Amino acid sequence: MITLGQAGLLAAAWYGSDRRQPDWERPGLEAARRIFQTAGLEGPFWELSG
Amino acid sequence: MDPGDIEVRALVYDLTMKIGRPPLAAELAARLGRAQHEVEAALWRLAESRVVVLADGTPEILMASPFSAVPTAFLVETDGGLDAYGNCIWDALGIPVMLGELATVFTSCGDCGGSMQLRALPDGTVGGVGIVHFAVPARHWWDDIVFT
Repeated sequence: MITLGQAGLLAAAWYGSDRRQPDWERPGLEAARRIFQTAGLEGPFWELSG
Repeated sequence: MDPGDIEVRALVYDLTMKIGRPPLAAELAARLGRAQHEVEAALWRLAESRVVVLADGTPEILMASPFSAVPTAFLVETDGGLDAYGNCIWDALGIPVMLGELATVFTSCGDCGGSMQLRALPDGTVGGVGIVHFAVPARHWWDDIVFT
């Protein structure tokens, strides 16, 4: 369970970059981990494989 | 990434952000002046790299996250008049972020089924009360992203 505020932070961090731009890249593992941390999402549930 | 695939990705998002749903492969091909089979091949590659999700067994986009090609339980109406569906609440809140617009998210409580309306700002701020339940651990999201 996370709060709506955390979900909003997650949305802002994940979707805040312009996917129309040629240099846009899907967040990799490390970037995704940082985004989760931005929203305070930590612990085994939020661990990413790889 | 192949420059042709980048061109397809850019157009996918350009059109999706204008019309509220991902375009069909035929629409993309017509706009780009490219053969449809070439565009479909690009979409397969974009799906392999998890940029889009294709409808099962087809070259058509099901998800150009945060947007869904089909109606979901997360309707987003922007103050600018665009209607779109998010794939989940995370995505629904991501639509106003991506569009840079205020929006209202219409959904329902996953517990009691009661209707919910949330105001969502382009900076991710959410007006409303509630909690969000993720059923699948992050490391398993892509085992079945549609279920997730």
